[in-house]
Amino acid sequence: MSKVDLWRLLAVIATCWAIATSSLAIHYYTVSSIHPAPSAELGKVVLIVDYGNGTFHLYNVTAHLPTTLFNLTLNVAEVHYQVYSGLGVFVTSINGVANNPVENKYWTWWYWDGEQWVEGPVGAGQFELKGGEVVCWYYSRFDPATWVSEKPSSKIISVGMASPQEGSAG
Amino acid sequence: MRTRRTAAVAVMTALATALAYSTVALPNVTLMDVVVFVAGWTMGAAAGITVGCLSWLIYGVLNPYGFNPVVWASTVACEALYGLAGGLARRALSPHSYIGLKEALLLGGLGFMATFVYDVSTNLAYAAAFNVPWLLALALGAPFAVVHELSNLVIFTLAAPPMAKALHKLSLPIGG
Repeated sequence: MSKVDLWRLLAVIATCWAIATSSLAIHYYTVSSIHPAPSAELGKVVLIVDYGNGTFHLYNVTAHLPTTLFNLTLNVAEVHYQVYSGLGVFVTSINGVANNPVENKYWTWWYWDGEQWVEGPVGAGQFELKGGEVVCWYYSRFDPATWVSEKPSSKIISVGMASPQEGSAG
Repeated sequence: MRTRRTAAVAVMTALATALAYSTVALPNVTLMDVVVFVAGWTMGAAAGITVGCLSWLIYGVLNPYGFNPVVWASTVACEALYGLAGGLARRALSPHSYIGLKEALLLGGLGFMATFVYDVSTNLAYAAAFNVPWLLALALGAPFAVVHELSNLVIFTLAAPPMAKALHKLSLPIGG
């Protein structure tokens, strides 16, 4: 290999190094801006477990934040789950209602952005709650052709923080 | 010669698909890419692109991680990038020439960059398919992409030269 080829090789290796470090820098910047700085303060979160049949549990939770949605759910509901190494947790059942592959019904989680429900962009074990959020576990039908899940049908008009309660969407 | 070339493309496609299934337990590490690259490097860009598209057409339909048409279409198109990269690598380095450490590292670097383009493209397709903000999809997928890119750097460096030599010994139509 000539000297020119050595420079070509060095240029290629330097480009690879730049790509890898830039990718990781963007990742850690994004993650640090999503996740809040640790604090020991108490915060409030509204957690809804919607069974998709008109009934739901509503939890007004006061907890030490930040915590993950998964940990918060474990504290208020009976949750069964599987852990996948490197990928996170997969919730298989909440309060006795299990995922149903035959009917393509699975637990998905959503957050209220002030106007509509938005499907969680990451796993519940990766999503950290800062306080003040309205999040919903929805037992939704999943279209295997498009991978699109049904949205929760409920609409949040206002959020009041009170003691835990149960309800029916009539 | 045309029949031998068609047979070689079919063999490489079968090899790429089989190796993809064999490494399915290792997330973001695959031996399919290097086979597609070597097909392009030894038989030309057109053959490499064909092997790449056909391999993902098969593997994508029976994908253990699930099937989504948008993601599938994007991966079929993007896997061809490795074949194209292999075809371009022929201009810098003939598969017949002596392949030492520097040459092998150059192949590894090309594999890394082809993988970067593949990962960015497929992550954007994922973002479009699942309505995820594209910047978030790229940022959160970055560690997985880096694992894919670094593993391909190592695999391309170590595996591409002996694979090309083996194809030459099998009298497959290298250089066609």
